[in-house]
Amino acid sequence: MNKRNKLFLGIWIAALPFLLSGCWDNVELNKTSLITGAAFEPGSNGKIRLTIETMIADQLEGNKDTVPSVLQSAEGNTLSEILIRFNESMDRTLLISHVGVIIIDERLAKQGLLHLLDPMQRTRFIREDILILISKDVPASHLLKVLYPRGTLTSSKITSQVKSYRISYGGIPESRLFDISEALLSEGRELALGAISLKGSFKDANTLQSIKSVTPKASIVIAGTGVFSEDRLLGFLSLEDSRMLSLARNQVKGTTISIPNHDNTAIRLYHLHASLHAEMEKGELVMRMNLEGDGTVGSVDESIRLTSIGGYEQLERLGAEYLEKQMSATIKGVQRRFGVDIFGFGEQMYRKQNAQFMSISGNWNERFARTPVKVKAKIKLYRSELKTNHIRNEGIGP
Amino acid sequence: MNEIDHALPNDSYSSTIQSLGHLRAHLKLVFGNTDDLAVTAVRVGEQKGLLCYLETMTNVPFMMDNIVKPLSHFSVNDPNGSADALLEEMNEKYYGGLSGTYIRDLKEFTQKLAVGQAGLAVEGASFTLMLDVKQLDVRSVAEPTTQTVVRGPKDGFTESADTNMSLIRRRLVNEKLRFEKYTVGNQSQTSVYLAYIDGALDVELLRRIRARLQTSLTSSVLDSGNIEELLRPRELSLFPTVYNSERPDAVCAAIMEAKVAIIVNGSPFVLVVPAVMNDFFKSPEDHYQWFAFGTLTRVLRYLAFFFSLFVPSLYVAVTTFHAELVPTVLLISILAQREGIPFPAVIEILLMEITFEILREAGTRMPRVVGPAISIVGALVLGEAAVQAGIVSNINVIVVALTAISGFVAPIFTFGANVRLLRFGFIFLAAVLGFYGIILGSAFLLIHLVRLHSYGVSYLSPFIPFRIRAQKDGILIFQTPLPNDEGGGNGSHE
Repeated sequence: MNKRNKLFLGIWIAALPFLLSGCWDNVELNKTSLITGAAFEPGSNGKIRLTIETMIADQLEGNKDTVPSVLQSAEGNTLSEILIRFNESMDRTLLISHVGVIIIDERLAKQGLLHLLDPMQRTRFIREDILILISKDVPASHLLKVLYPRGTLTSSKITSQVKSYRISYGGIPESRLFDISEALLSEGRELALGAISLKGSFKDANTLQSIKSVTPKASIVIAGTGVFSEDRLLGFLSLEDSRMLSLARNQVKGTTISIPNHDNTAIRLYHLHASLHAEMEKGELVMRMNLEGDGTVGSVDESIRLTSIGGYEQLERLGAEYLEKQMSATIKGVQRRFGVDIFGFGEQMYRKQNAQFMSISGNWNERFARTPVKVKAKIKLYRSELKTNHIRNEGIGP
Repeated sequence: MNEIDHALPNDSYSSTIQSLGHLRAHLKLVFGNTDDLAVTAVRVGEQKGLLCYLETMTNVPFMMDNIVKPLSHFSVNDPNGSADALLEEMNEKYYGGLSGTYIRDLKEFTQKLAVGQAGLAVEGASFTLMLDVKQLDVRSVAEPTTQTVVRGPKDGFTESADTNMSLIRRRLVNEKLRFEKYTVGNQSQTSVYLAYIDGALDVELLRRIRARLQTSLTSSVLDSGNIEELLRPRELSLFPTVYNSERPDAVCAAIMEAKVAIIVNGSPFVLVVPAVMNDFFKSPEDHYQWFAFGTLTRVLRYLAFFFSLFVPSLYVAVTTFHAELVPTVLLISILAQREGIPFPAVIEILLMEITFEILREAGTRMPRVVGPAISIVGALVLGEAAVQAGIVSNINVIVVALTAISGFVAPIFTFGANVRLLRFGFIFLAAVLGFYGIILGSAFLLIHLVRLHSYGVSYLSPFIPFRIRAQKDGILIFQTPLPNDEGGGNGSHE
């Protein structure tokens, strides 16, 4: 075979992969639609009812006369099966990879999450960091239908809302797909997921009319935390309790507390850190929690004088006392109402006192529920923003 | 040449000069009826003579003053001397500065005439006197048009090899600098000069370049591009292995790095071998500036190279195969723009890329007067209107524009041009196989680059093989440490 023939053959062999196999998984972007949000509910015919939110792309180009998304529901026995049936009512190939938020109905969560999780964890197209939230008091699909005046997708509104809320207040635990897997696999810590709910009337919240007003007819609100035992939902924690839960799990970036019995006195906290301790002392379980944090003065009343160190120390003590009281109340509430360790005392014990934990791991939650937790808090105030004393204490004027 | 040899009746015609009539006949035969050949009858002493020259290659007024005028008041010392002695006397007495040579061979005679010498023949002499009166109009040294710098020397090579050699010689005041002459091209007889510093150079490198020039079968050399073609490696190479520059400072820097510069008469582009990939990312200006800024621009050039090679193919791969890789917000924005576009992403990209290539070609070739028309048509009509009409998407225009600009960052145009061609290959690979195709193509490209050598130097050096000392002028530029001048030393000051 001469050189030319060899070259020719080489080119043919090189071209074969293209001619024979090319383009088989090619999907043009403008022939697809993105699933941006999903809601799982118990079905009336099949086991699960799945509602998906798909984006209408050109709406985002500035055309405000159409809705930003289209919602469709389908029922079936398994998630994988339902997902491929949406083209019964929709036009384009669906891209599952950009789901931003999945809302699981309260009723479904009470039956357990495991059968929903497997298909999500198995596929490579779903990201580990998608938000998984529980709908409280409303059907999950209703939440996806609530429009928001900015014209964005409901799902991206929720994602952004949760992120911002975590930075400002801290009242929602980390609830990504990854966190669920982690909680289910860890010893001595139960699952807790963020919950959202609906404020206002759902009726006509899903039409453009509802967002033509400055006060939308309905809006999605963050509603605290869903507490799980294994994969089953037990109930919900309030926002205040959720904040304490997040604090105990070191998930709060910053938050502001109001000091009780002092008019208009508040501290903005940051650099918060909780350390949990659990061990057996003389056959008895002992649990402690130490909270530490830095802070700035948010506002003070006339009784606290910030020109002296004493004023700061007083404020630090008041803040610490409040934190201790709140945290104790939250822990007691969880112990009484749910009896599961969502804080992670057991996880700490599993790590540090493994032998001790293993001896009681079988009934850890019961032991947790009947053992009081000692909470100690320490706050260090560094700044008081632009002012020191309250304006009345400046000593100027008659 | 061969035709003329055949035309000469070998048996009755001698190849040496017989008589003036014979010379006339020979010139008529060789040069035909060309208008610029001047054959003037003169008197040399008492003898009849002929002055032959090409008007287009010689300085005629100079010749009148320095050749013809001496003839008029020439008196013969020895009237009985032979014609040969007469010519020798003339040469020694009057034409000392004109580097006169004696030629017996007629073929050589005509060749010398062709390069701009004047021939003086005397009846009865057995040879002719060739005098160097060459003068050509050359473009004056001007600023280089292709490799501009903000700071640095502003002179550029011209089409005249003499000027170019002078530009190099005055920068490298080094007695070891050699200019070696070769004549390449059967028809054009172009002078090609090798410039190098003797002693510093690898002898093998010189031997190989000489061999290439001596054995070339080229008929004409009109630009150094023809010589570059002679110097390329034997196997197929997708990247240039010969560096070219219009800048004397860049070429001098290369010569000092023990490389060989090749100056081709008639081309302002001087070639340098060996050339490795990193050379094409260097601009002389890198070293004229603060080293950190030089580093920044060089890093930018490498970045632009990768942009130019991969951005369109990445766009195609991501939008047709791997939507899950794009951050959601970006994907939504791309999706919104792709909405309603009638073409698949590949076609869309190819459409704009080809359009851009046409625009670029048109911009290079068209008469300067119609220049603004191209920018209006190109930028406004094709860019703006195509998007408005919904034929291509905005993001596509951004991708093509970014790629196009990146393609021109390479300081040496030929390198950027090759990359532009490869880019199309990558677009096809991405369209068919997605990221897998891009990785596959990159792997082949890398294998090719690793195998490629320019005169024994690995094309990816100093990165592969890695030489730590050479890294100071690799992607990063390091400052050369200064000699210690604090105290001590030779100088003393009180």
